[in-house]
Amino acid sequence: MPLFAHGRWVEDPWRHLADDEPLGDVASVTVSLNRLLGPEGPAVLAHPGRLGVRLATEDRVESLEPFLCRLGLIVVVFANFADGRGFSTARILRRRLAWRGELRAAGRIFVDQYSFLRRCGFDSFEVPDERVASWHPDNVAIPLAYRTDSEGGVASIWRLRHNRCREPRP
Amino acid sequence: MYRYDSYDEAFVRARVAQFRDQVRRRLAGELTEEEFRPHRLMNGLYLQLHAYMLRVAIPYGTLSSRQLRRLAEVADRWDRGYGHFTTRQNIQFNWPRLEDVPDILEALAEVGLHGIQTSGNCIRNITTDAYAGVAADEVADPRPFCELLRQWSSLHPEFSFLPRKFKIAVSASPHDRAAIRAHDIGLRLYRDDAGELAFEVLAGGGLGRTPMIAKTVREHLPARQLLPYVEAILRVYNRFGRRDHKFKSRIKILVHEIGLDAFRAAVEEEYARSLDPEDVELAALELERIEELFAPPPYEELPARDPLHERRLAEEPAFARFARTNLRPHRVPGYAIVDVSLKPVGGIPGDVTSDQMRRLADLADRFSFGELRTTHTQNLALPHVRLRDVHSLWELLEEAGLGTPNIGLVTDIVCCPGLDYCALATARSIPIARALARRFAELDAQERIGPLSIRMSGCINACGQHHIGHIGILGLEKRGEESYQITLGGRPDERTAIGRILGPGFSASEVVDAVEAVLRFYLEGRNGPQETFADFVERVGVETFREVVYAPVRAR
Ligand code: SF4
Repeated sequence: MPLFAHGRWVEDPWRHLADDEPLGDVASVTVSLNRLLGPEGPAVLAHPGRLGVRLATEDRVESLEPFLCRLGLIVVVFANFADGRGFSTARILRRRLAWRGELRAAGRIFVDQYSFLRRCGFDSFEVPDERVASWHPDNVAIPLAYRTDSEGGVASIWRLRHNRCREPRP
Repeated sequence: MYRYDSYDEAFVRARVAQFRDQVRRRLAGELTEEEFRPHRLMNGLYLQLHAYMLRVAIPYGTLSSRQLRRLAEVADRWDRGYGHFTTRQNIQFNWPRLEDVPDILEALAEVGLHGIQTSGNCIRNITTDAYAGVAADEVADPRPFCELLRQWSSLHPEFSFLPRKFKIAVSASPHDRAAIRAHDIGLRLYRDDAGELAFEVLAGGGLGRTPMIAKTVREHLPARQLLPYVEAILRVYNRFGRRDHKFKSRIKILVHEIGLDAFRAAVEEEYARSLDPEDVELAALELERIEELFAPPPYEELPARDPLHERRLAEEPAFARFARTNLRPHRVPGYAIVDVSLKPVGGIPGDVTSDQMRRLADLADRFSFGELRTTHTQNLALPHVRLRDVHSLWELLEEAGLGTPNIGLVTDIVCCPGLDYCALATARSIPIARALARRFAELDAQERIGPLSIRMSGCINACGQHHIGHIGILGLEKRGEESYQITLGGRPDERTAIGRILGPGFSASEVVDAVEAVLRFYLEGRNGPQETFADFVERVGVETFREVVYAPVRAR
């Protein structure tokens, strides 16, 4: 799947394992939340390489809390364009759980959602093949937002107005 | 009133540019209608029966004369010379062409108006008491909080793809004129025992297919904590609201299914865990800035009573009637709020021509510090009129066909567009409203009936809020025929109640007779004129109406 991060197309260094695929000795793998929480969990955590998790749309992100320090990547899968649960997942990860690692959006995402995704804290994007040609986020982005959560190159009007402008959150 | 600064302007202009590009891609065939749909919806553009419809937000119903003039220009240049005010204090244009919409939005942006989030599954225009800031009985002006909510919810990154649309209403008076209990979130501003501003937070109200009254989630929320608390409610809803069925996806169903206690516990936990002091502080600074912009206009110091005004009331019965029905007490002595009825007999409820808009803008400049209000009953109001000017204003309103003295009476009918425009409609509503208005046109009879809100919807979606009308009318389709179901016992006020169905529906030709029979029974049976229709229904019960209505109507 083509991967877009920090304004450009990049190679995906991660292998995304299906639930029945063995862990093997791949350096960077992601597994589903179910697999992490299931009987195989301890083996997954003890895997020698980097570990990431793929969250399905309905997964409860809170269940990741005990493992956050072990993770290098969290992928949030959007089941469809209209299902906005993943935005709340990201927001909880970034703000409440203070997750600083890579946060990736995958699934049925559209370029017109790019600003929203960035502002909720996503920093990389698995773009469906058929959407790669139209993926020009700079054309559709709105550079301003009112709120204070602004991340990803979107300036907060409230910060600007009240002289609290500082570097956006990492 | 609120004025855009350069940031607000840049924000709205960026949004227009974005939509212009989306329209271009649609017209060039790069976007299919299916792909384009969510974009146009989030900019207030619907596809109706005959044409596109553009809904423009009037934030919390406050409108300047300059904005109204611009709306008149839009109506003339890009539509058919009129606009339609809705039950959510917005205005709709029924005939724009897709290729013109970016230009329309740009023209609106110049005066601080837009269509952002007037449709789609997001947080819609925040509504409030049409008399906010001037009502004699309010504890504080709720509009700064509404504006804060408007900014907070505009292109909200987390809540733009909710399970379903989301409506927030705010009231700051003991008498609820914003129907907050019929909203997804209702906010009641009050002063607590310590004299501080606080909110009672309600959630889970809504009409539509499954009408429900909102329940209290938090009795006492310090006013400055408003945003994090509302955000917690939205987050719980966004995560756990049903998405499997369109009719089950409003927050009222979530509250109902998991129960109020479980819902409250989830919200309180989310609120406690996500609270960020920096957010609260910044929102408080922004609120202060907004409050300054809502500073009252330069009122004159006047005595509470005006002798000239009172003499005219005594001498001119027609003027006295207008004053009885269309004047509201103002919190500043010597001033009044003047309601402008958009319900002339034979007209379409809520419709205004561009000429009338310009006249009203002129009148607002001359008599009301250039300010107007839209009401959730599809009327307008001039909020700051000197008592001594009311008579001149009334004469000019009469001249413009805008002096109908029927606010809050039987012909002040709330009515959605129905089958004449709306793609979802199952029956016509406008012709029924007109027929009702004609039947009860006689002014003395209207005053004799007293306070009465008839509300009508052309389908189960209930945009006409029929459930909370004292008399509600719902247009359905039964075997290819229009059928009108009557409900009684609804209330739109602080004691919000959902009306109960009287019985089988009536045909289009029967429904006016049926309403007349209902009212005749009330007039004959009431304990004097002090007993309003709503109180009478509460006392005698809906059942007692059945015999008196069905037998005579069906016998005809
Ligand atoms: S109630 Fe139905 S017919 Fe009336 S405007 Fe709403 S969707 Fe259309």
